[in-house]
Amino acid sequence: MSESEVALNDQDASTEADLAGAYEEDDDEDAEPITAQKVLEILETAWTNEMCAPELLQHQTDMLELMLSQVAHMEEQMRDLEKNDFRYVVHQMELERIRYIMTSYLRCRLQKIETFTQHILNQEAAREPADKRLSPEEAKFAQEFATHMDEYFHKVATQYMPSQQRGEAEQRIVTPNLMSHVFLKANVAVSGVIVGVDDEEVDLTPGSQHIIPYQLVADLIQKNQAQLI
Amino acid sequence: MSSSNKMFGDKAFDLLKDLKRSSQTIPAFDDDGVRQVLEEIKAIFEENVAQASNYNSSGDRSLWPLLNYRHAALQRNKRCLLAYLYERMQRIKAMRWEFGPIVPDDIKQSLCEPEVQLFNNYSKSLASYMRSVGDGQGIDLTSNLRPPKSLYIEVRCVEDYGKFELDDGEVVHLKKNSQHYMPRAQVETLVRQGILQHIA
Amino acid sequence: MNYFPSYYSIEDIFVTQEKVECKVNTRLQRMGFLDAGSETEDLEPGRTINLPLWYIKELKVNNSYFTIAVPEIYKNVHKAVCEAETTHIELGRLHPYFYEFGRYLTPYDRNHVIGRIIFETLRQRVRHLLDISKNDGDQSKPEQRLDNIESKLHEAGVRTNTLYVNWLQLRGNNICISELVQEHQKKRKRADRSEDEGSGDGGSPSSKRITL
Repeated sequence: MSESEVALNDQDASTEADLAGAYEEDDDEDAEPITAQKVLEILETAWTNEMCAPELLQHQTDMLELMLSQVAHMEEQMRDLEKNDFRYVVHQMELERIRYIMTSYLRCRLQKIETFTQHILNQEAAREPADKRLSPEEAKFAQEFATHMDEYFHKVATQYMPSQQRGEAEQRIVTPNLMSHVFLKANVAVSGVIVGVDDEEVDLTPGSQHIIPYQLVADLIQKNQAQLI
Repeated sequence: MSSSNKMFGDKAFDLLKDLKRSSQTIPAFDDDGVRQVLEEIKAIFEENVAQASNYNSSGDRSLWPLLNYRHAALQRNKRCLLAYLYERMQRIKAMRWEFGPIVPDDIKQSLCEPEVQLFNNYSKSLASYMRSVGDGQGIDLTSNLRPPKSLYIEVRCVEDYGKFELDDGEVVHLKKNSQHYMPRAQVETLVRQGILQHIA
Repeated sequence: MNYFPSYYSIEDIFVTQEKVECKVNTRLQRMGFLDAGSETEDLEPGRTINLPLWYIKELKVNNSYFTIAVPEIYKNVHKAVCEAETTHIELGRLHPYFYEFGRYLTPYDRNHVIGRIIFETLRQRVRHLLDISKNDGDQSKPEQRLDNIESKLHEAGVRTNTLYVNWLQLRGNNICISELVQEHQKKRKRADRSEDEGSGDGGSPSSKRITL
């Protein structure tokens, strides 16, 4: 373990250079001044936030696309390296770590989408295009999933049942528990956060950690003023 | 109804009790149980419709508590039945992640026709989602299930599998009880499917 | 874990299947079938019957048909709560859904004690729960001692603790066979065995292996 840990830590610097370098080559005309390392950081934060938050958060399609092409690019470059080359091992390890983060992140989102399908679709319908939380691919999947579930229920049961009453469909929607407690770390100073039902307020200092019902800090996560841990 | 000791809703509850007691893979779809619950729902509904119209014309409120009770029983039956389907759906979904797109025949036999369709639909939907991620670059979400600790792992072959080609073109012959040192990423699925065993 | 039942929640359906003792206050026409001990068509006032929670909770708290009796178990625990002696109670034996069942009954409790009792009981027991999660292996099954929510917490505690210990000892990094596949293989082996016993030649076992 200690050996691979060292490798990983060692790795960060070289990957950063590699990724950044490769990125510049690829997208000269594009003015976006973002490094590959930054992209990875954003994805890592999105991943832990998503794992800890009870509800579905904003999608990160752009970052994922960048990272996926980066991974493809790195694989291309590594093809020329000898397999026993230390650099090969280190890069391959880093690639697998990135792949794990991306798949784990997307699996976590899919699970929420499948659990809260109708709830999420209803919310999405009310959102402006810029505020959508589902990526276009996820939106398609969610829609299909809802349809398949309905079909199954209909064929086996609901078609033989007396027609629904008002409120019944509503009652069946599965929703997340937004008041469940989360661990939070403040990224910046935030003043006047309401932390209780009795409007009690608290100022968060940068780096400070708290246990708090998710709903009270959902907007801080959204604005990246704090992150879940 | 008074002749039987069973309460309204008990059959629907039994569906769930049996399902919950069963182990992880899916027990046979309880065709008969589901049909009985649907019949009970229909019977309660028809009785209530008949008496409600009676109540509307005469204004006699004395049967109101009964109507009320039966309405609750109707909703209860629906809830149990749909929860039964919902739980089966969870297990059907899990099968896609654990077995892959093709389910062993003996498990398939436990599913009713709409469930087989549900599985196929879900499987297709998931596959097309995974292909479309990242502007069509695609990513396989059914692998990389655990944080990687090493690039290569030592595996033992549990059964004769035959030839297996690695990404670099090297062909490994997977013969029962043979041991190999292979790239983790490429053999993860075979380990999950029980063909290889990950040894220390 | 996060207990937040939805419409499809099997656990919540199990809790609401529980029966509650009720006294009938007024003649209820054609509802005699709810009273197992009587042959009459109507439900007679003064009778005591058991009704499922899924029905009770649809009634108004102050409905004129039934008076809901608070189960004895909560009164019995009351004394232990006052003496802060709840950790040795075999809660699972008292009621498998002690907390949830109590929560549903809170509105019907005229003395307003159930809410306090279940809150205090959990508050007193949760520390103990943490301790036994750390010390018990998964071998001891404290079914009698714990209520449903408690045993879920206990399971989560034991699991977390095992993961932590494994992590400290660098164990448990192996990829495992999928649980469903494993269960399926076991079942198939059992089936193969019984088939072999049944008929003289059972065919070659390897031929059954194509479907994966």
